[in-house]
Amino acid sequence: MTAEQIAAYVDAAAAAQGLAFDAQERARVIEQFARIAGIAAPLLAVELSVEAEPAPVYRS
Amino acid sequence: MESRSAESIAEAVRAGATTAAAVAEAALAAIDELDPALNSFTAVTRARALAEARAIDDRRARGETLPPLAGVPYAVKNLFDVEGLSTLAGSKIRRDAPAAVADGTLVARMREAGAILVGTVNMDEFAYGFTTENSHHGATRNPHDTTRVAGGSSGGSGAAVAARLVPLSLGSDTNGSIRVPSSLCGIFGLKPTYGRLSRKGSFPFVWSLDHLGPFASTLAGLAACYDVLQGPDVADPACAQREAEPVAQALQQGAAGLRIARLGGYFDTHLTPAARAAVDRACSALGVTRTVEFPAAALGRAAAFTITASEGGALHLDDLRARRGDMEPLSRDRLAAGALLPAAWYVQAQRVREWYREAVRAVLDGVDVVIAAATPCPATPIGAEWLDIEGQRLPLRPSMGILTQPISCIGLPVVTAPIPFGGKLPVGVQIIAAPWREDLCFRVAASLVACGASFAPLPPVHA
Repeated sequence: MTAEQIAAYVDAAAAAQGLAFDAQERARVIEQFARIAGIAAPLLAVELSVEAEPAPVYRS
Repeated sequence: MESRSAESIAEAVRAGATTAAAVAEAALAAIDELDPALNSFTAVTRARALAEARAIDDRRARGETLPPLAGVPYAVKNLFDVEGLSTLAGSKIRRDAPAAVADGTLVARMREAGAILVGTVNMDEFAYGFTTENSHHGATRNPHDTTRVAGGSSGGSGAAVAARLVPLSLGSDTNGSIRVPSSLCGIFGLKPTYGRLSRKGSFPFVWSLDHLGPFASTLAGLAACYDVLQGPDVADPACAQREAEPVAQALQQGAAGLRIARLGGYFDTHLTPAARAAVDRACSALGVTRTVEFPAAALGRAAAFTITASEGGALHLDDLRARRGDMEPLSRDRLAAGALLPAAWYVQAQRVREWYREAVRAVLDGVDVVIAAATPCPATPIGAEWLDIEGQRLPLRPSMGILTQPISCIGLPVVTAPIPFGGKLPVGVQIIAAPWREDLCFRVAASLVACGASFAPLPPVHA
């Protein structure tokens, strides 16, 4: 995502979630979103089989 | 130091060498005297402590057999429900919450085991942080250097034990919040297998990753505490409902025959010289010559980070909408950003986590225990913003868990053992095993204790 895309996404998603930010808050949230997006990027590139199913509790 | 350990207090109370009331009074006096410099306690439960202590002394007077932690004082992170107190979870907002009507499951189990609750302790707001720089209550200070952080988010639990205000405490660990303060405060901590200990009656952060566990000033105390906390609880949907598998006996078994390796790769590239020296010392003491890697550990950390942001943000969405000004300035923007993540990112993170978990399980087929640093560095100054590691500048607060997140992400059990360096700040090592093999973590930790490589150093206030 480009910086512009991130800013546009944060604005749209915040509206959808009922979150209203002032200009300073908006800038900080965009910064935080960009940081998470940077960390998540390699994760999103992983190709998974359909068998990869969320299952957090060990049964054995 | 030995006279203050959980096991020695319980033994002295059982033998009649002291009374639970005298122990409780001494703990309360120590909190009054020493805690103002540390800021670890957020509430002192004086009346409850004295009542619980009297009940233990009465039972002994009647000739009853006392439970295992009879008379042992402890504190809990203020996200545990304690009957009669609002469960703060480090927040200002929850100061108005109704008082808990019952103790959380683990607090109730401590009570049944005879332990004496002396208070609740500080944490990062809603457990989202690794430093316990709580803007509402103030930062908790590290007993080994009060200009530095105690780690977080269970920083109060770590500092109170390190300062010997209590020999035991309880905390929570979602991404490292037991292991980071254990490391920075130089004490023992256990993050059990995900699903081992009931979380009923504790304030959540990230349901997929939340664990509860104990801290202690000695390994024997940690084992004794863990053993009374175990057991099924249908009230926690993530609890695996296993019968207790006590570890106290494991401390005597030694580590002979266990296949132990150093965790390399990702875990060897985020270390300051002090943290690397702690791993070197532990591995040398254990005669470890083998190194293994967890494939894709960085992806495991990314999955934990993404799941945390999304679940944490969603949990606090109402407060983000209505009371953002009352939330912790150090984490509210991260929570808000997390609440906006696309659902597909979250689902992908959960699926990658499963894939990574199976990859690590294959590694653990060939080794019993692996060793890694718990934090990339010793305690950092309060207020510090950046962490420099091997030429890389990282934001300090989210990065202090860089070595713990890839482990809790897949729920593996970890004992954090302190490695002291005379006169310098301690760093802990993570002793990690396959799911449900906490006993192996304790056996290896016991070997480090037996050879003198691991112990909880006394802070200057007691030196």
